[in-house]
Amino acid sequence: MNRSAFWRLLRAKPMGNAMAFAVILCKRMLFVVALGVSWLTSAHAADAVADGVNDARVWLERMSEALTTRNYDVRFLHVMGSHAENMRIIHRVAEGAVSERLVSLDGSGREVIRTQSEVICYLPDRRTVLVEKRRDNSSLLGTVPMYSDSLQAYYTLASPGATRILGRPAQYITVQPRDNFRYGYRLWLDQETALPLKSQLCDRNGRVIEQIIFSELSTPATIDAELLKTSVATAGFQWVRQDLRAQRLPIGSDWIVVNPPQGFRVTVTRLQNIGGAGPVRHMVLSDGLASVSVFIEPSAAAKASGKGIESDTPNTATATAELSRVGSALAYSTEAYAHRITAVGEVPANTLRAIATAVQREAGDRDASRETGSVASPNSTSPASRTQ
Amino acid sequence: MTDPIHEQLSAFLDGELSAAESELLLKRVERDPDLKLRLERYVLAGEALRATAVQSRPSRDFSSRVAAAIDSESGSARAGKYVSQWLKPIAGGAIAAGVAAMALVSFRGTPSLTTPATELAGNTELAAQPVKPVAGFADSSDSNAGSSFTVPSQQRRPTPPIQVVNNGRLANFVVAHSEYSTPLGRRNALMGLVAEDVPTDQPVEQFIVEQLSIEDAVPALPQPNNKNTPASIPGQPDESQRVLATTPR
Repeated sequence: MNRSAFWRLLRAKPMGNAMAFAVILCKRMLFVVALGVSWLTSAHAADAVADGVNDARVWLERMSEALTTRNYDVRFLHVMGSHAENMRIIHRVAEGAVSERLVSLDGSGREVIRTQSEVICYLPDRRTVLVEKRRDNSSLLGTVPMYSDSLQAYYTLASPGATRILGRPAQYITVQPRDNFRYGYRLWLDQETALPLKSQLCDRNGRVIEQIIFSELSTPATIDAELLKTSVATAGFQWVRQDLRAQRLPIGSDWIVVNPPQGFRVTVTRLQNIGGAGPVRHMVLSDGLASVSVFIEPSAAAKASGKGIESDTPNTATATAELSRVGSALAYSTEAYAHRITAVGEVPANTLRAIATAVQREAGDRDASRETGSVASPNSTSPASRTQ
Repeated sequence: MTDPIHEQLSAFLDGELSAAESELLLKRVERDPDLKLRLERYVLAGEALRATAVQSRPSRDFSSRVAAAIDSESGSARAGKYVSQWLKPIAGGAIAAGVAAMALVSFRGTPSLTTPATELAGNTELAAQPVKPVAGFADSSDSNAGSSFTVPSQQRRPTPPIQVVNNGRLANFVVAHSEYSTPLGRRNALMGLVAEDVPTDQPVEQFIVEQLSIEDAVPALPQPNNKNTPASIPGQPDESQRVLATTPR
C-alpha cells in the first residue's frame, strides 16, 4: 500500500482515524500517568529527606532550648583522645535567672560557675580564681540560637532514627560538615527532654575529637541553690578579675575580615578588657553553628616601643604564629599591623589560620567596598569574586 | 574546602574526574600559573612525603612527568591516561601529607593553663618565646605561596611559621569566646577549661597539626632568582627542586 492509498483509506474509514487517535491518546495518558507516578514518588522521597533535615533542625533547636532553659543535674564522662574525665554539670533556672556549675570530679577539681553576672573559674591546682564579669542576658530564650535554612549550605543534617542511650529512648541526629572548615556533631538526644545523652564532636571524616557521655541524668523541677556553690576552699588563692562587659562597636569598624572561609560572617564586634591588658577588640564570626572569636590587641613590640600601633603595613619583621589548645578549642595567633591577632574556636586549625590571616586593618573609606567578606552571603560562591 | 577549583583539583588528584573534565582542568591549569603552582605543590607534597616515609628516593622521573603532563598539549585521550597513570599514587601521598606536616612542626609543651598564676594575671605576652623557624617553613613567610588556597593569594597575608605553644592568656580568651557560642559549643569550651591538662604526646595534638593544610608540608618555593637555594626538606629530591625552580611566578 502506497502512501496516497493509505490516506484514502483513512479518509474512507473515519473509525480508523479515531482508533489511531485513541491509541495515541492512550499512550499519552500512560506517559502522563507514568510521569505522575514518578513525580509522586520523587516528591515523596524529597519530602522524606526534607523531613529528615527539618526533624534534625527541630531536634537541634529543642536541644539548645533544653540546655539553656531546663533544670538538670548530670554526671558525665568527658573523653578526648585517650584521656577520660568524670565531670558533673548542674544547671539551674529559677525566676528566669540561669546559673550553672561545671565541676571536674577527678584530679584537678576545677570548677566553672556561670551566673547572670559573672563567670568564675576555680583552678585549685593553680591556686587561682578567674572572675569574669559578663553581660546580663535577661532574656532567657533570647540566647537560644535558631538554626536557619542557610545552615544546610555548610552542614548535612539528618536524623537517622531512634535508639537507646542510658536506658532511655533517644533520637540520633547527625550534623556533618560539608567541608574541612568546620566540625560536625553526632548527637543522641533524649526523646523526653532533648538533652544530649551522648554527643561527639567530629571532623569531616567522622573522626571523633571530643566525646561527652552522660552516666547519670536527673531533671528535677527545682534545684537547691546550695548545689551551685563552689566546693573549692579559696583561702590564699590569687583572684584575677576581668570585665567581659564591653563596648559594642558597629560591625566592620576599623578592622575587617576579608574573605573568611565560606559561611563565616562577623556577627559581633566589641571592645573589652580581657585579663587587664588594655582594651582588646573582639570580633565573633559564625556560620550559624560554629563560631570563631578573633581578638586583636597591640603586639608586645608595639607596646614596648610605643610606636607602630598605627602601622598600616600588614607584616612585622618578627611575625610569628602559634597554635594552642584548651580542650577541643584551639587558638591560632599571629602578628600583623603591629597587632597580635588571635583566633579562638572549636573549629579545625586551618579555619583559625584562614580567619586570623584574613583580618585586615581598614585603611580609611577607600577599601570600604572590600568589606564584603564580613557579610558574605551563604551562596556567594561565584568564581568571579574569588579570582579577582 | 569550598573553593570550587580546589574541589576540582582534589577530585582530579583522587582520580575522580572523567577524562573530559580532567582535560578541561588541565587546560585551565595550563593557562593559570597559580593553579599550576598549586597542583605541583600538591603533587610534590605527596612525593616529599613518600621520600621521607619510605626513606627512599621517589621515582626519578615523577616530578618531570607532572611537569610534562601540565606543560604538554593536554589532549583528551592523554589527559585521561595521565590521570590513571600517576594520580593514584599522588592521592595516597596527599592524604598522608598531614603526617609530613606533623613531622615538621616542633612541639612544645601544650597543656592548657600550665603557666604560673602570675601569668594569668594579664600582660602575658603571647609571643613569649622566639620562634625557631622549622626546616621547611623557613622561607614561607617570605612567599605568598604559603597563603591559604581558599582565597586569592594577594588578599591574604603570607602564613608565618607555626609553633604549638601554651599560653595562660588563652583561658581568658576561651571564657570570652564561650559567651558567643551556641549552648553546645559553650559547654564544650568550658569543659576544656575544667578538664585536666592532657599530656602533650596525646594523639589529639598530632591530630590538630594534621589538620593544618598540606601546604605546610611543602617547602617554600624558591624565587626564580635563587634557583640554587638548597631544598629545605632533608632528602628532597633534586628533581622536585628543578620543577619548583622552573615554575613561572
